[in-house]
Amino acid sequence: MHWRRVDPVQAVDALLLIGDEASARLDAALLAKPAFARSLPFAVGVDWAALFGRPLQGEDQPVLPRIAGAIPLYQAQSGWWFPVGSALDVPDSAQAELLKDFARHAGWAPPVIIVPRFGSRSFSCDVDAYPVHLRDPVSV
Amino acid sequence: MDQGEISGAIEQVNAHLDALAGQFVSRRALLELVMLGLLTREHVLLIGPPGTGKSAAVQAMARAVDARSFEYLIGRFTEPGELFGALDLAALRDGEVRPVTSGMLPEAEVAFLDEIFLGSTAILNSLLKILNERTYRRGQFQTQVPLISCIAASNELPEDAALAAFADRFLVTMFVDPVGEDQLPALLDAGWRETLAGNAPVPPLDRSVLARLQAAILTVDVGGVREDYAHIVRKIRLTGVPISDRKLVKGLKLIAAAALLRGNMKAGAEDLWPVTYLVQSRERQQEVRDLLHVELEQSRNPVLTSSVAQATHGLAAHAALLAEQAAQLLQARPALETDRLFEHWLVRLETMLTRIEAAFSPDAMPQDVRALHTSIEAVLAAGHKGTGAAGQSALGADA
Repeated sequence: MHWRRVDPVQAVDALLLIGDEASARLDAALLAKPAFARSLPFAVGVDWAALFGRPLQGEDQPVLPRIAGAIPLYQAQSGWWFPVGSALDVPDSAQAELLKDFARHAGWAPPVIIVPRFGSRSFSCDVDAYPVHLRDPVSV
Repeated sequence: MDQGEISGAIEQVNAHLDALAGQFVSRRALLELVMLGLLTREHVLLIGPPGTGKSAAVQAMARAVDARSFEYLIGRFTEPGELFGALDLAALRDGEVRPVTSGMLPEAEVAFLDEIFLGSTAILNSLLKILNERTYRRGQFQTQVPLISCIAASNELPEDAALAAFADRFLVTMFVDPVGEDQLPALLDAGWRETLAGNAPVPPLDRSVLARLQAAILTVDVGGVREDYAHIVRKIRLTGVPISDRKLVKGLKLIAAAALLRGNMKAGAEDLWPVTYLVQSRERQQEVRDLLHVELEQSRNPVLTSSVAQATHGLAAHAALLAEQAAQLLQARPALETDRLFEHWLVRLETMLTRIEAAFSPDAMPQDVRALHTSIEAVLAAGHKGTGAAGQSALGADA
């Protein structure tokens, strides 16, 4: 499967922090935020942490705090988050089925965060996957 | 024409689009293009699979405009009389062939024809004359048709050459896709709300508002973009994408309307984006968007936000959208800082910062977005004082 860079115009609905002390950094960032930010759903792994947006009561659009160094994510398909500015390089109509196969092959179940390793390239077939329920990043 | 009157009319159109768009998920661009058709007195073709809300959105728009409307789902066996009116039997007794057109398409100002390409040759021939000349003719009977705009829908574009020529009479073509996966919860919420209570009707837009803007469009100066527009069309044609001369000329009206709705009586580089909707192929529209990446970079429109974003798919349109939303959000400051609404406002502002920073690195941020970004940062710096929860863990023992 190939991922490609696209214009970063997708609506952000989750944030991912990667690296040492990711959950501690998320924790510290949320402590300085209004109470609503501290009620948002989150997931943590060994060296990553993710925060998922949620709409305010009576609204449609999810809200998220601003967290320095976090990777903004968007939900490309139900249960699949990609970084803003990246997309699976297949037609939209085929994405759900391909991702299902991808997850089956890797032995995960969504929700999953996928972070392509682009480096300086526009395309990549190497990704880091963060199955949210497993809490550990898996290199694919 | 008084500039204040025009501004007022634009505001009304914008508010109207907001109200209608609030009843549908991800259909703002469709509603905007139908409005663009009404304002330019041009016809709009919607192509997309069944169940994507094309009909519901167009019907809502037709109800929400103070104009005589006519809707019909055409089938292979639809008789011309079902659209244009049955023969007047009394007149026929006197040897005169005359249809009863009352309440039928020849008297409509806004027409919505679903599955248009299923129409018989007789229907399509009559329609062709109505679309082109605003005239309906049956035998010796002929009448002027007050049609402002015909909005047609179909599951797919016809492959037959004769039908394709008919389809070319629709100046604007939009491909309507099912709502994206990320919008499914919103779609379900909206659908359920409608099932339970129905959508509140949007008060009709007064016909004087439409008339004022229709007249103003014709006074917009398009001289400044003529060369750029010709360059764009040449570039499109070089790739083998056909755009007829008729469409090319009429496309200027769309550009003029875009300029007017941007609040300017002189068209500029910001207003060339409608050219992508002249192309009648889904793949070719995508190619044109990519091809014109540089030429359409400055595209923006505060009223037709979604159709600009869809036409350009570019960062420029996204920047304009973010700037528009950020400016509105800053203006919506609640009066009382102790109010819970104030905290919600701060949360929304912070979300806006996250969205801006996701799209633009600090060195690539457009100037207007940068200014708004700075204003939001200042408001948040003042507003967040004391809102934190020092000494506790936000994530709890789980983390």
